[in-house]
Amino acid sequence: MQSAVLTLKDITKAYHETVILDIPELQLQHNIYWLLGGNGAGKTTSMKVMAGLIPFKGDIYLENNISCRKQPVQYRRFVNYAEAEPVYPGFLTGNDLVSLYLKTKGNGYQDIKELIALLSIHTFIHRPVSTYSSGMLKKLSLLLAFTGTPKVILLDEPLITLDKQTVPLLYDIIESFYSKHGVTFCITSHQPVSAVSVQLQVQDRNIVKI
Amino acid sequence: MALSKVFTARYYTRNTGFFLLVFYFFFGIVSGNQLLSYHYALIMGFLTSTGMLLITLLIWLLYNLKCMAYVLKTLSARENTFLYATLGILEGPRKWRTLYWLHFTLYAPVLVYSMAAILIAVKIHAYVPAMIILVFNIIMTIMPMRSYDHKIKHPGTTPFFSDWVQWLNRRFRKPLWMFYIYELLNGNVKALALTKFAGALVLLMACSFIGDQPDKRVVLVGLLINLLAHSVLIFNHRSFDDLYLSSLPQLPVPLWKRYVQTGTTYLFIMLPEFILLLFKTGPADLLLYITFGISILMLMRSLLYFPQLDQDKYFRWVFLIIVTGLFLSLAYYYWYATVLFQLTAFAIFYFRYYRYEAPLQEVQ
Repeated sequence: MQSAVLTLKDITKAYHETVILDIPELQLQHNIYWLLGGNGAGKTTSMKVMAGLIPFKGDIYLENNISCRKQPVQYRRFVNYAEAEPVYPGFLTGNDLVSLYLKTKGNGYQDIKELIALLSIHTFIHRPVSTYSSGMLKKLSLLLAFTGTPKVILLDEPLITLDKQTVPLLYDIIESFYSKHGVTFCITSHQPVSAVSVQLQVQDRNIVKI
Repeated sequence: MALSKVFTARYYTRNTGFFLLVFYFFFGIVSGNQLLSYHYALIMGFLTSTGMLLITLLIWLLYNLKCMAYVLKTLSARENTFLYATLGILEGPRKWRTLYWLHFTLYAPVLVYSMAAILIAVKIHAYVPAMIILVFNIIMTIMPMRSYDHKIKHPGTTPFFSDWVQWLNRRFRKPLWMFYIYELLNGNVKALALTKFAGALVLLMACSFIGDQPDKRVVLVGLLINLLAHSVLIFNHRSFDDLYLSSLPQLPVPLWKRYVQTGTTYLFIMLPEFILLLFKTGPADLLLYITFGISILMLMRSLLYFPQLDQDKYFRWVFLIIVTGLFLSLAYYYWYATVLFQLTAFAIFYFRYYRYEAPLQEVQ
């Protein structure tokens, strides 16, 4: 049996005493996961918890040795996250953000310039993000999720607002990162994701494999 | 008529406060029987002094830029898209006449005053200042025409410095500590200007109390009130982080680095005050003022990592910090205060940063 890339242990997340997530244990091996669940089921909260973006009870371990709670910097170096509806300060350019991510996460598995060209971001990367359409903003946030040398990439609704030409390109990048660089993906989407091989479901505040 | 409603009427309505202030300065501070002599003295002041004339022209230029920025902003507003299909199809003299009239109605207060100045200048045979004022105002009313025309022909573009900004964006990448400074300069410039203006006044007043034997406690009291004025900007900093930089905690950056970055941001925000203090009090105690000021601002920011700290609770804590700083400063314990505030700020930051979660209403 494969060893777990991500292990969630005794995770509880509540908002104002309303428990949103209660996950006794979940192990994710190297794979591409599709996290399912209806509106308000807790998919985005699960992703944010796994990204270490919001506080929660319990702990998450990367490859059974890096604790999200005890080694937050190392954990964040290896777990990347792209939000469903990214928001950035309007005065920043795409280039400012790419520069910040490269500086903190380091150079990626794939040359960032190649990815920028592949996703056709070079045409607007020097413009302030306030001038971007929602699709352009989405592409930029996806690009940022592929910076550094992550072991896990969490993509929250990566397909919304993307144009038809970009969707297959994104699948190719996911496939390539998964097979060539050993990256585990967890993707939430209301649309079927063709690159996905294992499905997860948020059920009664828990995440279960189906 | 529609254009007057869209541009002129709305301009004067939105700037009522500004015009009330100007009106008070021109007509409210002297009694009615001295009004004419007051204005005559004002006009004579800039007609007979080159320096004063240059300052007056600079003020008129700034007002003209304000009018231009308003027109361009109005043209960019989504609800005014219809202007491109109406103003945009005018041609020849009609187009220029319309654009000129549009700007003329906004710039009119300056024109009225400068006409009076020209008449007085001619009366006292000061022909050179009269000619300068006349030519200056002709340029001021004609200059914006090209910008307006360009904007109408190219909707969605920003002609003001756009090439320069694009050039800068290609070469300069904004570091993290500059994000909030950019935000203040872009989206919150009024709050920043007000804070800086009020803060500078307080510091100047405090410095004016320093006698031959400088007492740094007096400066520190002024600085504390200045910092109190900055507490609003610090509170807004949290809202900015919550709204636009919610993914920042996801970056693998050590806590001490994040803390230093926040401190650098505040150091640059406070730079005008520190430069002012350098000129007014000399370099001897500057290090104390800088470390004291930054430590208090950092403590204010760190407090905001506590959950459910709303505006009301925050300002209660801010007052407590300022009062503590005041008593410690008056008792000559300013260095102890600096260390105490800085250590407390870092301890809170260290233990609260990853535990902080933006209030739901901020992020939804």
